[in-house]
Amino acid sequence: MNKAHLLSAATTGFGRSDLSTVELIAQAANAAIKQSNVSRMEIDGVLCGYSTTFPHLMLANLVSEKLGLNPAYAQSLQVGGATGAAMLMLAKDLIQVGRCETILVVAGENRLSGQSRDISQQVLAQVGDSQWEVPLGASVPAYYALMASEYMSKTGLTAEGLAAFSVLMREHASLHPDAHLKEKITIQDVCASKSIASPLKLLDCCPISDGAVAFVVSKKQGPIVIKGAGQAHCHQHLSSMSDVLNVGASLAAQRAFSEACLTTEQIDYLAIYDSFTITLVMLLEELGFAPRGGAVQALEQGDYQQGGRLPLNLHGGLLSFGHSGVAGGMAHVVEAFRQLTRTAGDRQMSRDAKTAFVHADGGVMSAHVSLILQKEEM
Amino acid sequence: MTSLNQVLTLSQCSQCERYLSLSPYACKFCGSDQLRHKDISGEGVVRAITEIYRAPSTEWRKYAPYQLVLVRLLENVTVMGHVFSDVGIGQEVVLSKEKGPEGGLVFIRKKS
Repeated sequence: MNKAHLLSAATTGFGRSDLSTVELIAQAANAAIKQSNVSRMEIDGVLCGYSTTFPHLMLANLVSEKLGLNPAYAQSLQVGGATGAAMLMLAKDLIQVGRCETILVVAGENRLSGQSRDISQQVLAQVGDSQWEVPLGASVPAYYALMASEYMSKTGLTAEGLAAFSVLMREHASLHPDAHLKEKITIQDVCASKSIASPLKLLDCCPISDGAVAFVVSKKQGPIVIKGAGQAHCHQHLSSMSDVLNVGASLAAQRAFSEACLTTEQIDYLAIYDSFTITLVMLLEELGFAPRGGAVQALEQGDYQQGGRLPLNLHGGLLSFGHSGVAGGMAHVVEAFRQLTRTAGDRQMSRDAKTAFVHADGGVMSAHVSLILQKEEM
Repeated sequence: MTSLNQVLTLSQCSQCERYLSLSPYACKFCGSDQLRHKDISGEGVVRAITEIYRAPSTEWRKYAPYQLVLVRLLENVTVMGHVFSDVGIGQEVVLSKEKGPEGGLVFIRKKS
């Protein structure tokens, strides 16, 4: 069976941009293609994430045309925030079975500049149930706030504990020239920021950003192999989530670890979805990268820092690098690629990392995708 | 006086008789697609609560801040609703006959 390698990983700057969805996508894609050293003629697959500001019926085809590509396989995917990881999993599968040899995986949008914040909120709120949840004036922050309230009551997690993750992500982003938010903050800043939906404050929530990310995945030899992947989809709506302590994340991870023949103890770097601070804490604990109720203590011990035992989102995550939709979740993978290839500059983790774990969720902890990336022995 | 015990209609599996949230088309427990509607009392326990300050639209901004709860009903199904009284996690509540803003479900404290 073929192995799927990440040949390249590129992001545009995240934040506010004058560029359209397609312009952002083209910028990231061209950078990734150039970095991969493959010719456009060799790209026989294109996978493209959706854009809320440009809801085109066949974005992968449009992007292929605009980029001068003539793929044998092209499609767009929609799995919410897990779309980027799901596209990488699909690219891996397509390469492994021999359907494609070299695939461009790309997404981007001008989510900040291309629509009002109200429209963004209303589009995103539709991940709630149209009959039982959305008509109550619910929003994505409200769904995550409800989860946070239940999780806090069950585990003893505090608002200050949540805030510490926002502070950490900002500290990491402060070293990244492409991050949306770089100014350092304190736990007090987070707790004193505007209430959005209790217990979540403004700084517990990721910003809305413009930006794009692209990868070239190939059967050709490359620096990083996608060693394992797994998904789990246990519910779509919050009202259908049966247990806040078991939302499907660990199931996706088990499937990825099983395919990779690896265990959590062998992971050197973490790329974990962080749409809200509560997302990060719930995922770290369910995935087993902190004991239940112990993520804050692990953070306080320095585990998740650049020089720590298990560096986490060293680009700053969605919370500070920024969230431009599908590309937001893909930026975590770009940073994992850079950390493993030791090209992260000032953010480079001190230990020599061999294996990274990626996890993304879509909806209200509804769709889960885990990936395991490993440095290839060259 | 607030009237209690407004009925709520839920889906119930005709085969295994479990109740199901959010009007599905098949039973997630036994796989049957033979579902029926059943009226229930709307009693349950608060699983989660939030107070929304940043409403998603102009329509909702006039009500902010407003509270949403997740309630696990006696039938082991979770539903979302509003609350306008002082309730917390673990509190026993019941569906009110009053409707919330824009016609949503409202829960109130269950009288002991």
